[in-house]
Parts: sequence; structure tokens; C-alpha cells
Amino acid sequence: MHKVFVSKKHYTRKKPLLLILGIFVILTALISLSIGPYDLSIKEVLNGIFQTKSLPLPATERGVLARLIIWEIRMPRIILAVLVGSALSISGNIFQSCFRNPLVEPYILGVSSGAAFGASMAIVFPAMFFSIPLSAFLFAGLTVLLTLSLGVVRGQIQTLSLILAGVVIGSFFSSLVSILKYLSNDAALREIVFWLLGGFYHSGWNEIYLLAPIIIPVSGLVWLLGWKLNVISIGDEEAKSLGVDPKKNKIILILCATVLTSLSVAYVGIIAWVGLMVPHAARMIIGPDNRYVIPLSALIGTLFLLFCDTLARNMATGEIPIGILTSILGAPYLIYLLRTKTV
Amino acid sequence: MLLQVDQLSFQYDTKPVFQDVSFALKAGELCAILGINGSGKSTLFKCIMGFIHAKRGSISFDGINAKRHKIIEIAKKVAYVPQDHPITFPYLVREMVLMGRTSRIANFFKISDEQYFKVEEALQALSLVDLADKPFNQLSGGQRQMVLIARALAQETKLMLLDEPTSSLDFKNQLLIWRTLLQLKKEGKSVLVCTHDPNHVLWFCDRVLILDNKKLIADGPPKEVMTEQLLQQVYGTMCTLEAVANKKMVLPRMS
Repeated sequence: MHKVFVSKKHYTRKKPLLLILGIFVILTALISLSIGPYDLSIKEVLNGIFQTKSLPLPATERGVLARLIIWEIRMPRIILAVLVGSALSISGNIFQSCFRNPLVEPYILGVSSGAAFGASMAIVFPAMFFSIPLSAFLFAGLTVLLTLSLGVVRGQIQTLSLILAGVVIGSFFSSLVSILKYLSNDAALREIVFWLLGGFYHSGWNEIYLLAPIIIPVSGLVWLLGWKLNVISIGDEEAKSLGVDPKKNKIILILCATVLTSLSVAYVGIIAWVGLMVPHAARMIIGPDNRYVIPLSALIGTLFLLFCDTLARNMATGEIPIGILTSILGAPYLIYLLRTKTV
Repeated sequence: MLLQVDQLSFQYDTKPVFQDVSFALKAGELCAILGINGSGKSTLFKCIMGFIHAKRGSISFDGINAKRHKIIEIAKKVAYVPQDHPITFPYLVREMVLMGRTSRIANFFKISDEQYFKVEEALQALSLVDLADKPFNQLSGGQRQMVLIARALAQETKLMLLDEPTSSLDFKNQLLIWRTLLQLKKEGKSVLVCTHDPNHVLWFCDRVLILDNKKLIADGPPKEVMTEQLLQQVYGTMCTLEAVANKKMVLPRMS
């Protein structure tokens, strides 16, 4: 049995890495809480976080202000970055594993174009739609349903048909967005452009109360299916011969990925590259086992968005849309991957 | 009977691939399927594994119709070794073999020592321990094929189906694979192997099924059923059957 225990180390040595990165995320969040137009020290941030309302309020005026900035402005934004960073990275990983292609991104089935159309409609015709996120979410879901209905042939998920259908449906909705841009007035046009670039401008606790109860359990479910995702990523026939139903599990996983992506896109717009490159980075660090890639992707995605959002808030007097930053940082990374890895 | 195939017919759209194929496999048999390209060997395998569904006929494992088995139950009865292929993600050999235990693991976050032990046993059985921590994709074709067989071993099934396991291997590795299959037979497992080499069938197998012209035309011990006449029916007149050093061999006809 000795050899068995030796070999077991190979399977379990990855856990400390997750813990270290988790601590790193908390530290980054603290730093991000302290940086902004109104600078706070880490001590002030910690005071602000841990003094709850039942305790006497901080004596100084600065302390009151610090609490307000932390809890009402920066904390919701950071939590939203955590939720969206995890959601996009996890869904990117699902699509890459299900389609057995590391260059696939969460928007592959046309989610982003559908959401963009929904958001643009709500911006141009505000009277007809309840809210921008709701309209974006509904159209994102509709797009994926359309893509799936075209990509499933004779009850089988045909990867190539599905990806092609995603491209076609995506470009169709992009054209519709262009028409809306053409028709809209200056103010609406500006709002559409900003929405498309993505950002955490509208972060508040309401968004979090809505997103967290969905994103957290769905991500948990995906994590539980991590080993099955490993088996599916080898091939459908082999998965079946090993005891995993590829069709059923793929449908569940793709639906989870769609919910994660559509919700994120609906609230923060189109943030490019995160879902493409984060899972890849996670696999380079920890190997391809999805039981570890999924939590690590969530942590790296969170870290990346926290970093980009902190930059976006502080680089210029106005706020830079985060989608610009993720693309600027993501494009060189993809070139690096293409040069160094065979994909 | 471990496997029973009854009157199985399969067609792609309107083009029949094979018709009325029937045979049964009991424990401890090393049985080969022989036939030219396009004779439906791989399709037959896919039907048995449930990857595709035949229009007519039935397949049973342990006397129970395959349609009444769940996917996970079939994985506990039959292991499938596909042809060697690269994979997208760089799983380690160890992880690939652990996948063979999928149907036996209830909680993938708390895998017991016993499961790891089975993986280690399978790796040792095929002398793959030194390669255990290498990425599967960095191995040679022969090594990859051995890993896929190790994965099937780890699956601990009574029946194993191998789709052209020696097709991309050098002679040494071909012999190694056949030796492994003979060992499995000795241990009481049943092995169904699809191959292109009639000599391998003559040397190693104790039963052969020959598919030709959409039908199963022979079923029996290779030395008895593989006659010159039958081989010429399947492969044409370019080959002949001769005895070399007391062993039957299929040789090319040179003139």
C-alpha cells in the first residue's frame, strides 16, 4: 500500500495553491477598497469593514465617511467583480471543455450579441422594456436557445454546427444592434457604446442581491460536475463508455454556462477576454483537472477583474470602461499563448 | 453469456452497413473481428457500446437487454479501448487511468485509497508507472494505446472491447499488447478485439468473427474457419495461407 500513498500526493498537492490564491484575492480586495478618489489606509478599511452598526459609530467624521465609501460605493463594486469574474471564467471553462477547444469563449453561442441587442432595445425604446439588464438577459437567453436549436441535429449536440450557429446568430444580432445605433439619437448612441464596452458603473447592493443567489449555487453545481467535465472533455464516446452521459451532462453544463454569462453580461455589459484566457491560465498553473480548474478559474477571474476595475476607476479622472482594459491586457496574452502553446 | 448480439442490423440512412449479425461471448474468450475497411467492424463496436443505435436486433449484457441498462451500469460491465488519439487538454497518465474508475466513484472530491490503489495496479500491470506523471499527449502512439488499455483495466469489467489496438504500433508494442490481452483472457476476462491483421488472429485468438459483404460469414476457431478459400473471398486473390514452422500464416501471393 506504500506506493499508493506516495501516488496520492500527486492528486492532492493542488489544494494549498487554491488557499494561497484565495488569500491573495482577499488582500487585493482590501487594497482595491483603499484606492480611489478618496484614499483610505488599510487600517481605515479594516475599521470600516469590521465595525458593524450595532457598535458605536466611529468618532471621527473621516471614519463615518470611510464607512460610507466602503459599504455603499466600493464594496458592492468589488463583490460584483468577484461574482462576474468567477461567472465568466467558469462559463469559459465549461465551453472550452465541452467543445474540446481551448480557444472558445463564453460568448461563443451568441450570448453577448443577444444581450447587446436587448440592452440597445431597452436604451432606444425605454418605454417598451422594463429595464436594461432584464431586456439584455432575456435576449441573451433567446439567442442561446436559437443557437442550440440550430446546433442540435437529430438529438445530438454537433459541436461544429453549434459553433457555426453561434457565429451566424451572433452576427445577425450584431447587425440589429448596428441598425439600432444608426437609428438612435446622440444620447442613446453614447449609452449603447458605453454599455457595449462593459463596466461596473451601476454596482449596488440590489444587483448583488439578485446575482449572488443565482451565480453562487450555479457555480457550485458546475464545480460538483468537475470530474464529469474532465471525462466529457476527452470525447463523447469515451465519456459514455466510462459511465458519464455526455448529452445530459453537456446540456446541464451549457445551460449553467449560459445562465452565468447572460446574467453577468446583463448587468455589466460585454467584458471581453476574461472567459477566454482565465481558464487557460488556470490550466497552465494547476493542470487540466476541472475539480481544481473551476475554483482556480473563479479565483483568477476575480483577481483579474479586481485588478482591471481598480485601474479603470483610478487611471483617469473619468472612469475607463473595463472592457477596454481587459482587451488591452488580454490580446497580448492570447498572442503569447498562440506563440508558446499548441492549441 | 457476457455479451449476446442477436440479429443486429445497422444502416446509415438507407445504406446498410451490416445485417443480421448474431454471436455470443462467454467468459475467458479472446475473440477477434476481422474484415476489410468499411466492412462495419467499428460500427458494430459502436452499436455494442450504445454510441449509435441499431434499427433492428438486440444486444444484451449478462442476459439483460442493453436498453434496460443505465450508462453507468454498462460502464461497470464493458470497457472500451478506442483507437489511439490525442486529447485537447494535457491530462496526466495517472488522471487518464483514474477516469477508468469513474463509474465506481461516488464522490469525486473524496476518492478513497482503494480507488488510487486500483489505478496503481493497472499502471503496474502494463509497466506504465514511470510514465504516470507525464502528460498523455506527450507520449508516443504506442504508449498512449497502453494507457488507454490501462484505463480499461482500471475499469474492472469482465468484458473488454478494443478497436484496432495495434494499428499504429511498432512490432514490439504490438506483441506487448497481444501478450496483455492473452493475460486478460487467462484471468477469465472476455476480450473482443477488432483488427486488420489476419496473422495476429491466427497466432493469438481462440475465436474469430469475419464480416464481409454486410454479413457475418464465419464464426469459430481461427485455425479452422480461416481457410484459403475464405481469405480469398475477403481479401481477394492477393494472399495465400501457408504453414511456416508449424504455424499457419497468411502470406502475400507474389505472382
